[in-house]
Amino acid sequence: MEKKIWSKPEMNEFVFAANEYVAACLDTKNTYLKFVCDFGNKFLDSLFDIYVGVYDNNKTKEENAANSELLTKDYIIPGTGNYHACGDTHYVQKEDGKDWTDYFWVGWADSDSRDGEIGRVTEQVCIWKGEKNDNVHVTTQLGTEIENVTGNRS
Amino acid sequence: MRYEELSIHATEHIGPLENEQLAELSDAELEAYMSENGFRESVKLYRANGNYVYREIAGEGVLIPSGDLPGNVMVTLNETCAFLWEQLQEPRTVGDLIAAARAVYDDPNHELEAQIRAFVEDRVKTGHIWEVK
Repeated sequence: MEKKIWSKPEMNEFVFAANEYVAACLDTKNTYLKFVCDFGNKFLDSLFDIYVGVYDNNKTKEENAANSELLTKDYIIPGTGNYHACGDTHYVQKEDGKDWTDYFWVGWADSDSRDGEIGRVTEQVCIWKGEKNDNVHVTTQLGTEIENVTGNRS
Repeated sequence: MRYEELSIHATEHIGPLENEQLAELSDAELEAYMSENGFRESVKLYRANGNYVYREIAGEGVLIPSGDLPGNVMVTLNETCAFLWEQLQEPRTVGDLIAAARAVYDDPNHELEAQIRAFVEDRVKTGHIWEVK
């Protein structure tokens, strides 16, 4: 087997913006990850392309796009579509032993999808593909911000 | 006595003596020699912080925090770092990591060993890697 060339091992940390709401709550039987699909609401005039992948600040947006998976193309309006926040509160039923990483994808958003608009890249978002895995719902806060709260589903 | 699972780990060749010379030392001399030459450090075991979930996203290694870690921080790994992270799913000495990396990577600039040592030292400080014993 041909050996690869060694390069310096590197870790880079990215911090999510904390401006959207995600939580989990319990009813008597089930645990849910609760979040509001409101990413992008502050840009009401904007549509977004949503990508699965990690945005690298050392690369151009085009290079990042080439290294990421464009979700909106296939999941919202096949062939052309864009994301826009639906604004709904979603409850993702969570199985025992799993956590949010089993249900959400990490990605980034590009609002540069309208003619004449100045592009805005949001580097870190989290994406839920919907119960049928055929949609795109986005937030920018996840991880251990998802806490288990006992109570009725609400 | 409590049974401990058998394990064999690589340690770096320490000190100036060759293996044949080491074999001729008495137990007391060997212990003193090893103590003088940092043997204790070389048998330390490390493993990856189990509160991170490793995922590959768009071909890139990503650590996603869980448990008590801050939830709004995500860590990306380059290829060699992802390789070391995979190795550290089980307790490993620095010597184990160096030996495993040498089996997979060419090191034309002779920097692999020093960079792995620095990586482990740095990441223990940041909490990404735990010292097992």
